[in-house]
Amino acid sequence: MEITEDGVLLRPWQEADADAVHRACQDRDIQRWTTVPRPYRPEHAHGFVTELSRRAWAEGTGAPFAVCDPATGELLGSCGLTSITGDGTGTIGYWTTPQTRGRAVMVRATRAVARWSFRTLGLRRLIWQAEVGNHASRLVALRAGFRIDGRVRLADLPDGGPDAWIGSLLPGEVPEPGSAGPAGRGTLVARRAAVFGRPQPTLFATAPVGELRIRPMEEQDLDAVVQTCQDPETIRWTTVPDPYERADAQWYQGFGQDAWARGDAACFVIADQADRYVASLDLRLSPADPLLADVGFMTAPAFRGRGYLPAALIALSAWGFTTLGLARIEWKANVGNKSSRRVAEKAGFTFEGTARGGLQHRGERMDVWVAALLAEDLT
Amino acid sequence: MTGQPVVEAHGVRLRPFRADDVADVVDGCADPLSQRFVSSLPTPYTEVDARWWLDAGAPAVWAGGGAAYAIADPGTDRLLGGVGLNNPVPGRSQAEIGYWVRPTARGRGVAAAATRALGEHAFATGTLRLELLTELENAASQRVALAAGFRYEGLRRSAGQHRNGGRHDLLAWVRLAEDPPGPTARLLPDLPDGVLTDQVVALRRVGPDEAELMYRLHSRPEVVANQAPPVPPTWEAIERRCRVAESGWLTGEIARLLITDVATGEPAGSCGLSYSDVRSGEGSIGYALLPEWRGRGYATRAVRLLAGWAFGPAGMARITAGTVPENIASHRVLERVGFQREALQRARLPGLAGTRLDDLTFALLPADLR
Repeated sequence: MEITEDGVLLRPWQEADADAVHRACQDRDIQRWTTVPRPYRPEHAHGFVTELSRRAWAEGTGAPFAVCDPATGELLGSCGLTSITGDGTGTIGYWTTPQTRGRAVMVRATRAVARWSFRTLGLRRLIWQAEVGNHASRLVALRAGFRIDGRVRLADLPDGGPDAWIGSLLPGEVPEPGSAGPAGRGTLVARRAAVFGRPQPTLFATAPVGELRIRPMEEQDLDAVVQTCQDPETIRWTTVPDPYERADAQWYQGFGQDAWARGDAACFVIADQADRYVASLDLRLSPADPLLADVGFMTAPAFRGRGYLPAALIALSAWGFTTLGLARIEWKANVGNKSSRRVAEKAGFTFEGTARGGLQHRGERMDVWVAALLAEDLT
Repeated sequence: MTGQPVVEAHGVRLRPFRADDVADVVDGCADPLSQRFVSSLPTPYTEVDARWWLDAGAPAVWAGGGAAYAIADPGTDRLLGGVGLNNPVPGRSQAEIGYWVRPTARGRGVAAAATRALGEHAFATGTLRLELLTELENAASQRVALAAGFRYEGLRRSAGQHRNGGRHDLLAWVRLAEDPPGPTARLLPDLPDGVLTDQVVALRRVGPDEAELMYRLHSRPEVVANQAPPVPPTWEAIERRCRVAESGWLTGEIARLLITDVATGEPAGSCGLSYSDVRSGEGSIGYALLPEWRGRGYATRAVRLLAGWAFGPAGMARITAGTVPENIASHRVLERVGFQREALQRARLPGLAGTRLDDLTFALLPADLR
C-alpha cells in the first residue's frame, strides 16, 4: 500500500525506520503535543514500526503511514489513521520531523491520507483532535480541509491539558493536490496560528517617562498585582475579586497563559525600565467577530497619571491591528471612570456613547462608556 | 445475562434483559419514533430481531466493555425501554449513553431517570466522561440530556448514519464525573404554553413547516440589507434553521420565533433573541416583517412581547438591537418599545468583501419597556 501525491510518498512502516523514528520522537514539540511515550526509547520506535503498525493494518483498526521524500526515501514524518471505527469514522494523527517543518509536507500528506481514506477505504468522516494550544497541528488540519467544530472537555491528552480542539473532514472537502486550499499563507487564520503558536512576545513602547516593556505576567509581578487589586480605586472601577488574595493573582497569571494558548486573548503586564510592574493590559478577541477585540487595564497606584498607559495602549493596539489583523478595538469603562477614559482618549480612541446598564458590577448594573479605535485611526 | 448488577435509582430499575421481554422490546423498537431516531435498529423490527438482541446483541455489548440494560418499572418489573453504554474508549474513561423507551412509557421522565441512574453507576465505577449524541431534530432526547445533567458541547458533523447509508450531523451532550447531577440550567426557557401574545399578534417557536415562508422573508432585498454582512441566505441554511429551531433553543444558541396575525392566523414575519453576553445578562434582538404586514404596529408589538419574555423568564437584564444607521423605520419601532439610542459604533460589523459597517446601537432596560 503506497500513495504518492504532491511530492510526498506514503508507505507502511518498515523495521528499518526504527532509528529515524527514535530520533524524530526525541523532539521537544513531538513529546509535548503527541501521545508518544516519554522518555521515548529505541524499543518504543521498534515496537511502533513493527508490531503496532502491522497489527493496525492486519486488523483494520488503523492505517499508519511513514511520510517520505519520494526522491531520497528520507523519512519526513508520520501520518495516518490512529483509529478506524465500524461506523466509517477515522481519526487522523501526524507528526513532522523537526528538519521538515515549514514546507507544508504534512498538509500534503494529510490531504493524501484523507483522499485515500474516503476513496479507497470508503470512510465517511475523519476526525482530528489536538490539545488546545497546538496551533501548528490545527493549521495543518485547516489546510487539509478540516473544519474546527469546537472543543472537547477532558480529552485523552498528555500533560493534563484537559481540553482538546476537535475538527471534522467529510468526503468532497479535501482540497485538490497542489491547490492552495483554505487557511493559506497570509490569511487571518494562518497569521494568528503563527502568533499564538509561539510564546507570547514582548512589545515595546516609549512613554514620557521612558521605555516600557509590555510582556507576559511573571511570578515576580504577583505581589504588585495583589497590591493593585486591593487598591480602593481598582476595586471601585473593575470587577477584580474583593477581597483579593495571592491565589487570585496566580489564577490571573494562569488565565493569561491559557487564553494565549487558546488564541482568545493577549494578557500583558506593562513594566518600567527597572522591570517593575506598572499595569496590566489585556486585549481580548471577540468570540463572535474575528476582527473585533476589546481592551481592559488597571494601573498600580504609584504609576497612575504619568503617561505609561496611553503609550502602552497605542503600542498594543498597533500590534493588534498589524499582527492580529483586527479592524476595531473597543474600550469600555464604568461611567465616571475619568482616568480610564483619559487613557483611552489620549491613545486615540473615539468616544461613541453610553451603554446603559451595560455591565454587571459587584451585583449592580452600571452604565458604561464605549469608545473605539479603528485600524485606520492609527495610520 | 448474569453477573451484571441491577441498578435501582430515580424510580427505575435497570436489569438484564429476559426472555419474556421479547414482545415489549418489539413494541419499543418497532415504534416509528424509535425507528426514526435509533438508526441501529433493523427495519422492520420483528420478534426475530428482539430475540437476536437478547441472545447475541446485548451480550456482545457487555463483552465489548459496554452495558445493555433493560429499563423496568420497579413495581411490576415490566420492561419500559432500554438503556446502554456503547463505544467505550477505555484510555479516556469515556462511553456513549443511549436509550429507547416504549411508546406507552413516554412523557414521564423514564429516559431521563434511566440516563441518570446508569450515568451515576458508570461514574461510580470509573467512567469520567459520558457522551450523549442526539439528532438535531430529536428535541425530546435533547431534553433528556438536559434533565440528566448533560451540557451541550458541540456539533459532530456527519457522525450519524441513516439506514439507507446517508450521514447526518449529531449534537454532542456531555457530562463529566464531577459535573452536577442536573437538570442543566437553560439560557432560553420554553415559552409559557408555547406562545407569547397580546391578542393581536402571537409569537411561537419557528418550526420545520415555516421554511418556505422564512426563505421568502429573509431573501427580500430590504431584509438582506439589514443583515451583517448583507448576504442573502441559501435555501439550505433557512431550511436547516427552521428544522433545528427547537434544538437552537435548547442549546441556548438562539430563540427564533414566528410572528402571526391572531385574527387570521397568517404568518406576518419573524423575530429572534439570543444572548450576546451571558455574564452581563445582555441579549440581542432582531425582527423582520413581510411587506403586506408592515405599517400596522406589528413589529412594535412583537418586539414588546419578546422583550417582556427576555426580561422575565429568560432572565436578561439588557437588550440591544444593532441597526443600519439609515434604517429610520426600524429605529421608530425600537423607540416605541422604549429602546434608547446609545452609540454609533464605527466599523462594528462585517460588511461585504472585507469592508466593515457602522452600527447604530439601541438598548432597552427593564424599566424602559413600554
